[in-house]
Amino acid sequence: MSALIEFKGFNKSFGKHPVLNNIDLKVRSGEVVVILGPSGCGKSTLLRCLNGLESADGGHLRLAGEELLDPRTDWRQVRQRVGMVFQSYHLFGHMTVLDNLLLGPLKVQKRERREARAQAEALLARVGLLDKRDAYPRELSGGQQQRIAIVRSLCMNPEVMLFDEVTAALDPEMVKEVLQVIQDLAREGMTLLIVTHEMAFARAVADRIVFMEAGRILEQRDPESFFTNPQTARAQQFLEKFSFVENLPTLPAKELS
Amino acid sequence: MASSGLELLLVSLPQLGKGAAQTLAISGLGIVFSTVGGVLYGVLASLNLRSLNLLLRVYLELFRAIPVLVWLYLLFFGLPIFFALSIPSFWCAVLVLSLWGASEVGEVVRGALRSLPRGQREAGLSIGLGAWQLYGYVLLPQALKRMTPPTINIYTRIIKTSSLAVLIGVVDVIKVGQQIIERTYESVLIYGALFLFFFFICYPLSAASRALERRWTHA
Repeated sequence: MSALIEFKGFNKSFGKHPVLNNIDLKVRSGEVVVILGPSGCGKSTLLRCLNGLESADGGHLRLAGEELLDPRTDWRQVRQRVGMVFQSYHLFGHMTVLDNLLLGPLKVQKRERREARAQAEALLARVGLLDKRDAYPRELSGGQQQRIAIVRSLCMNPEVMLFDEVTAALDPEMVKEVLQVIQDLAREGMTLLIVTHEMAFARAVADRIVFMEAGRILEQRDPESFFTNPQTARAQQFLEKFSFVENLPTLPAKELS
Repeated sequence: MASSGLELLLVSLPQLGKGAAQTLAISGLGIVFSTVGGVLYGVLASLNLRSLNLLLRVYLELFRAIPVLVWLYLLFFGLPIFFALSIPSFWCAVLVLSLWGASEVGEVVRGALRSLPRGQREAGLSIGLGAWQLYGYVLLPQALKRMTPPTINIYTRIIKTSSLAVLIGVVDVIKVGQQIIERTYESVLIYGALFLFFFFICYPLSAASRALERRWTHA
């Protein structure tokens, strides 16, 4: 089966400073890939390149076989297929929750209001926030805002979802409600690329862990062997910093404890 | 004297009214064009394109550094000489006020747009919004709160500055007042009326601006 997403010899630099160096990464449809690595290793930039928020400098990037680094690429089309959720949610502050959710479906996809609204409400109900549909973002907690930001992306019916440290700005007690939503998506078989520092979550949800440092991919393996037996010294050090190796949960089913 | 003064005002009212209409027309058109041009300027400036920003910068500085009066003379007397292009004094005044006002409003719009979190832009792009949609649905509506109070203040300045149009021969409310004074020597009375005219147009505007600013900074 060919890859849904394929980075090949992919390069990106900010000025003279290379941030992504010869990246090779394939993601199959339905796969959940978690990208780990120290801050500044380029993992967020990798996601942003896939959404066209950063431009690439060289190499290949394909989505369902289609080259995205072609100057003729219509990023508006691509972005409808690749949803992105940000660290600080970025809901539109002047709109109600429902208007936030419907902006893309109505104005970009020109869908019928009734149908789009039904979908938005069904998704809101799924994340337990249907009663907030008329609220404004400032009236909601961080965890609620982030769940709504996820729904906003889902309303576009994307093929892939990108999560860029989506729990990093949240109070600890709100992290789980957001991770739960992502985990449900993983169970449904959605293709996910996740950048996170939540190690237990990464281990539970990932089909594959990609470990990056200084703009390179150093390891990519299944979570069990990555967390129990990292191959590179850098990955080992990284995991030790999270003091994770010492207190591994015994039975990491695809479930959050 | 008092009765004759009142009489004079009443008699002059139609004439003053015509001048006032001229003043309001110039100011009103200037405000509309300033707003449209200013929003365009602000949006273009927020795109952060180097050569475009340079161009906008030159435009801004030209209108900041050169007095409006000089611009009026330059276009009114200069265009016919250098380009064999003469425009009526009314439209010349509208043009200069609009260009000047647009540079002022434009800087306000640019600042308001820049004060929005960067993530708003990226979130809008990430759901596939085009540039027009991004500004129309996401960025400008949120910038509106921040730009409205200072923009209203610019409107009052446009109204007051419109009085310079007298100097290129527009018969506005001030010119009419001067004509009446020449005939009757009732300068205190007429200038008093002009004072009230400008005050009652500009004061509500600046009061509204202050009220909005107070309301929105607390929200």
